[in-house]
Amino acid sequence: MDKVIVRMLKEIPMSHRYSSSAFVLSIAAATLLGWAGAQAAASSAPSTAPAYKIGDKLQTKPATKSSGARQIEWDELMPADWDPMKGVQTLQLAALGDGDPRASAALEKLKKAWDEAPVVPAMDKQHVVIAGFAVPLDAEGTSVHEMLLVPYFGACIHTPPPPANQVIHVILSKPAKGVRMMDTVWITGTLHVATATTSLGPSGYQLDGESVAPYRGGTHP
Amino acid sequence: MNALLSIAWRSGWNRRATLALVAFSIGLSTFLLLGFERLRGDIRDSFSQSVSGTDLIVGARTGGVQLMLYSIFHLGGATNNIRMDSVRALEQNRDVAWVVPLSLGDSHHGFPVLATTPEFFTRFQYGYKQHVALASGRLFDGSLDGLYDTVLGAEVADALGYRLGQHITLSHGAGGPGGIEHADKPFTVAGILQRTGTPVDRTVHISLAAMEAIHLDWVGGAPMPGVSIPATMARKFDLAPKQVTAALVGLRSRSAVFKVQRFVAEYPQEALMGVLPGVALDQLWDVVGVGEKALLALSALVAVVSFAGLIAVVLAGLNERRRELAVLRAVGAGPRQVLLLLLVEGTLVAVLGVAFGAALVAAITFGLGPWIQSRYGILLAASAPSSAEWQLTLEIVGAGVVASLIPAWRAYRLSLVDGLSPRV
Amino acid sequence: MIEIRNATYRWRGADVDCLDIQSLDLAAGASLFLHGPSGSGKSTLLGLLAGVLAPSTGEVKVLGTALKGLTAAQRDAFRADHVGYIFQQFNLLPYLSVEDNVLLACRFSAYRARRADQAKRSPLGHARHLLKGIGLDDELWHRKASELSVGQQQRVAAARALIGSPELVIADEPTSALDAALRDGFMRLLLAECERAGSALVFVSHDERLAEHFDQRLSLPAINRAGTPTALAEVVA
Repeated sequence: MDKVIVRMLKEIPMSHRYSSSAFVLSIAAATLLGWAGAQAAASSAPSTAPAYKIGDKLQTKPATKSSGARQIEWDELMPADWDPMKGVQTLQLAALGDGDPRASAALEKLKKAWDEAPVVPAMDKQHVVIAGFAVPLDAEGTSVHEMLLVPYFGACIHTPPPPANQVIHVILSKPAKGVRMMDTVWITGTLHVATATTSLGPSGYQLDGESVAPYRGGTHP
Repeated sequence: MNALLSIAWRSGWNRRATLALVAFSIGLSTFLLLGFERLRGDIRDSFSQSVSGTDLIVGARTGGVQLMLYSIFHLGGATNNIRMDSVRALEQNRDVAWVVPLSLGDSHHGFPVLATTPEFFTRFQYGYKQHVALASGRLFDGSLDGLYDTVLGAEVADALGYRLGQHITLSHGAGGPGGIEHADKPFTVAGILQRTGTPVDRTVHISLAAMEAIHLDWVGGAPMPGVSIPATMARKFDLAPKQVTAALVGLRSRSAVFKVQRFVAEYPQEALMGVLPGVALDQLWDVVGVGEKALLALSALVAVVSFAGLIAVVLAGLNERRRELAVLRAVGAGPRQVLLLLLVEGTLVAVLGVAFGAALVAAITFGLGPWIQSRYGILLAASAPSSAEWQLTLEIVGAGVVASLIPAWRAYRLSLVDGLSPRV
Repeated sequence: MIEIRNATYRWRGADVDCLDIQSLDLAAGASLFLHGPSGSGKSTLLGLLAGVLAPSTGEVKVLGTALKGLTAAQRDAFRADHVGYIFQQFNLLPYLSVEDNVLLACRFSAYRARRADQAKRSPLGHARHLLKGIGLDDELWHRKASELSVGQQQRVAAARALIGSPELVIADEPTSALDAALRDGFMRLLLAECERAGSALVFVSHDERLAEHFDQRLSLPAINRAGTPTALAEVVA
């Protein structure tokens, strides 16, 4: 009887029997290879999903809840009447000849104005939350104690750095983990404004950071 | 389920010779993946905590990564020098709080020699606000009396067995065969530093004046024939350095770093560049990252190969086990239980292999860790596995389960067709 | 306790039935000798009785349960609970000990384990009792099954089939691999143990001389209306 069964099973179309095994085999093989590829891809994937272009600024929407900290925009850190382009604009570039030293001098003045950008003293001691791109200083592995916060992507790496009133030196009360160069973050804390008259050093913004949250969209989580 | 586990274990144990080989190969590929992940993480941690508190590293206009690698880690080729008066101009910039010039070029038995000011020991930080500390002796003070004093990093003292008061001579260049010694001007070990886990441990520190002194009668990298200035007479000459390799710069306000960076880049008297250590490190990881991805993909492929071995071995043995499967069916197991049995067997082999691989990583970390630290300055932490490593482990085991599905499925089909009459 | 009515079985993709039985009955505790030369459809019939196969048409009832209406998983569970099966050879898992082999069925059926409990205070107790009954030296009980001779293994197979006193024992040519000296001994042993446990026994063999020990005797080719499968083989070829 077994011989008959053998012969009968042989007559059943092979395709059905083997195709299911082949199907399972290929699914498993594809899974394994896909896993191998995913390892390579995931090895140094950045934590933020969208890829920013150089010069991109973060889109933020006004805070819907007031958590004590006021959400501010980068523009608020610049005095309303400050315009570094003033020197260049008053110059009638069209009226100058080629290579006119006045044009270069005006450009030098612009760059100097960039460096000497005035701060807004009223922002001192404000409890704020602001979104920006991180430039970690003194990182211990991925644990960051201090960082600079800048308003646009690629600042200081690919493009000229921002003016002095658009850089915030953040000192965190407890280290943040996993913050990498150019990661987008929300920082909450108290601003301190150093002006040339109050300190021996140059003017600038410093923030005592209480908390760091990843930026994933318009509003602060 | 209990019954299946026990049967799977006994059945596997019965075939332990071949299964052990498979488990071993899975273990090796796990070792590759986990070991690589750990090494990667430790290297990055080691590098990034090697310098802190420094806002800019200023040097000749080369590449940021190269400048940082050479000035902080003493790795890679020498960069061009910068003039000392450029360093002075930096010191006079009103945004700058402190400047520590560094001069490199000589070595001692393979350890790099760093000439710097005494301020280096107070200004240089690592980790989180950690300062370099003395284990014994004292620092050089930059005066001419202690001209030939040297301060050794912990690793140098340990590896070469040096003690305070010992006399050593430095070699020009990277040393090695054919390297010329500054034999006429021996140094005295005045101080030994505590271990920091940074390249400081591997460095021999001398004063800038001493660096000038040993090269007084040298020109173009070699001693002038017939000219020899004895060590004690060197102090009669002007030992102020004219050139240095780089300078570490600390600022009054850290947010002014870009302003000073621009000042350095536009300095008209010399072609300089200033680099933020964090930015340079990041650029280094970008470059290294490409290689890392390739290595990781390769390791993953090795894992796939070892799992293919598992599939092949179990599949090949299935034919002989058809009577076994018929017995199981006779006592009431269904084809699904047969599938489960094979799945459990395969997963057990995978888990054992992964455990072996992880144990191997731990053993190598313990065993080779000290040697790697002394040779390369990288601290291999014998710590608990990171979350990335746990995730990797789970993924490897998961892949093992998926791989086991193939022979398990085949056994399912066989058991269905065979029933109680296997065609063997 | 076995009731087959107009049951047919046709292999998937085949044109004709390979088994067609109008009726077959077996009372509880009775023994049936089924004479079936190779190719008469005995594997199929045993598969139906054990619940590994479901009839294509008709009715197969064991212990009053119609096997056709059960799912494959339910039939497997039914077999674990109520059926003991003995193969011609290779009955045991070579890497388990003799005791563990005998206990196998109890590990797949809680009902079976409970019946073994009632018999001798624990499944292990019942296993040892059975092993004693088949005359196996107790120092062999812990040995791996692969270390026993063929004759010893077949006797252990009988013990395994009988653990938990299943209501039905099916033996598929259990003596065909034994030599004449061991054959009779095994026969008498099996019949005695089945009688003691109250199990019905379906014994299939091509050797008609063994039939005299049984209550009922049937010839499979005679009751299988599907005709001799040798004719079938010609059709298929």
